[in-house]
Amino acid sequence: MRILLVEDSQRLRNTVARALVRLGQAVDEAADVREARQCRDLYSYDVILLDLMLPGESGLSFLESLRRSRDDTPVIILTALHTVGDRVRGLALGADDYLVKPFAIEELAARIEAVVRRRSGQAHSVLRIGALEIDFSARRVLRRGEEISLTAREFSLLECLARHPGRVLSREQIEEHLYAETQSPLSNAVDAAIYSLRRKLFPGDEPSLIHTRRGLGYVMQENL
Amino acid sequence: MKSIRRELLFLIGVAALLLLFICGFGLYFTFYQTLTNQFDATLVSKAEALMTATEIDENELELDPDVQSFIGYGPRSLGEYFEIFTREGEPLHQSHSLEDTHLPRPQGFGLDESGYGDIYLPDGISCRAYWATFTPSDSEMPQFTDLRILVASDRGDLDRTLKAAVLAISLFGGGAVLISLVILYFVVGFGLTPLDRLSNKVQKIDVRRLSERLDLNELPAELQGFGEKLNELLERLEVSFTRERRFSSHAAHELRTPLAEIRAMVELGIAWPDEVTPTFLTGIGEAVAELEQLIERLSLLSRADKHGGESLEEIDLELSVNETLHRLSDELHARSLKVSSRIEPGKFYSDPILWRAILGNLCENAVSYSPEGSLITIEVSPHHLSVENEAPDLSEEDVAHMCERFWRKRETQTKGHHSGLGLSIVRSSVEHLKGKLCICLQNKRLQIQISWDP
Repeated sequence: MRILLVEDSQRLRNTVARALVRLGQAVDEAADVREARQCRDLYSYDVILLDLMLPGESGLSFLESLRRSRDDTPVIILTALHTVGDRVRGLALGADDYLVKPFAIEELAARIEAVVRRRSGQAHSVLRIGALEIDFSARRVLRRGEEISLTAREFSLLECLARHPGRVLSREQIEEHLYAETQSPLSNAVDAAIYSLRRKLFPGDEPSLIHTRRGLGYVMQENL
Repeated sequence: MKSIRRELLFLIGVAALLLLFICGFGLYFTFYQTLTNQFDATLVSKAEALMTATEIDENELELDPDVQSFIGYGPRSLGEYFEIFTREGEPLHQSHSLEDTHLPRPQGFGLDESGYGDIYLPDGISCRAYWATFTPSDSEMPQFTDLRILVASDRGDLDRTLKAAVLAISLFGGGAVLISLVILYFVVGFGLTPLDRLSNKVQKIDVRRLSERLDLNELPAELQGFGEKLNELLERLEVSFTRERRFSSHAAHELRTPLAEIRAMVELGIAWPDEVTPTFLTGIGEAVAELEQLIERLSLLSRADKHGGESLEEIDLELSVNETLHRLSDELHARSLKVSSRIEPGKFYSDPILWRAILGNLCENAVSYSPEGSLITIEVSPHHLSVENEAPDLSEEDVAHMCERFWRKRETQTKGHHSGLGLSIVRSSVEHLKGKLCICLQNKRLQIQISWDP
């Protein structure tokens, strides 16, 4: 999942970004609305984490302009403003959730997962596909009840494919969801990650649910 | 609860009743006097007629029965009586209506030549009486000189007329007061309608709707002044609430952000211990220090905002300036800043904490925001403090906002330890110490001057 984190406090921004990266997310950082707009113009994000009190243009103004330009990327407001009026104003302008500082990283991760799940039309955080049971909230995967150990990056790749079942995702699209702008993956990084994921999820004669579409990309599908 | 309408009605009602009582009494008194005077005049006429008709014939007092009957003295039922007495008070003659009784003597009878009085006949009839002294014509005998005549008339009709007058005055007056009160109830209600309307409007104004104002065109002349003052008050309240809300928002932001940083870093360290490096721990230390400094500044601001209770002590101006510059010496050297200080010695009394806050904040700002290698000028005397530095990025508009709490110029907003409270603290401290603060920007040089009355 690729996340844009807009926060003026450098320490908080770096720490949250670091934690999310450790959870397998790709995080781009912006210190103000100007930087956030630049990132938004270059990439598409699964979720935007937005502080309200930013130097210069406020976070609310950025949110308003996003929604005006029909960009429905889920937005979670992270702010110190805690009154009911502040929350209502943020949600009324199109925010999907609101988290008051200081917050727990665990809660932030759960809320990110929840807003993304809501946007993709899934009611539960657990998705069953073939013999796999993927729990996006707990970030674990079971095959016939047996837990499979995945790295954060591998889980993110699985999440990216599983959230769009039956849809072919190009290497560039997958890369965009896995790597932040500051990371420069090798040209075969996605292929290598797919190979590794297939080996862990579908060992031996187990039929693979991740299929290659030559020249197009990869798709996760139960029945071809 | 007090009600203007009820109070007005009560006061008007009491005033009306008092007026009714005074007018009623005056009316009754006038009526009583007029009727009694008429009654007395009739008595006098009758007495004079009797005195004229009285004769002494052959040593006997005579009064023609036809004349008596003509004057109105007949049977007892007519209620007219008279009796003639000698000078010594012996009865000489009386009307037939008295039958075999005598008229009681009214008070003053026998002492005064003539007079009026009220008497009661032995059978309880109330009468008005008049007496006079006279000597019948042709009387040459001493026993028939200076006779006294006492005439009396039944005053039953007079009393009944007076009672009817009292009843009429009471009934009509009381009724008029009651009807007036009912009419007044509605008139007062109608008169108080603008006040009711104003009260309803004011009741609808709450903290969330302080932008509302009263429409002065709708108010009557008597409430214009009140409406204007209320609008002014609302304006001040709105400004004050907006300022307080902004301050709360900023304070929440400034306090919660370092807390969020500390919490996030601690959680990151616990979940992934390999992230805990010396740089990481330094970050936590910096966040704690910033939080501590912010809390210190907020408590200083709170102290400066409080009025009274300051402890004035003699301040060594040179020592305080040198201490402040010594504390900032690292940054001064790092940024190659030059300082020119001129200290005029003299006794200076101030609150040492607020003085340190003023001097410290002004010098810190000058050091932080002056361009590298520039000159900072500090002038101090017992009545004056001035700090001047180059400020190429500041505009006149910025100067107007500099003392607002948590105000920071955009470019410097994220610049380390500056909370945006420094000049607010300076302003509050100066106000508290009854000084004058003046900030001016001339030729891209910012000069902050504080003066105290000698």
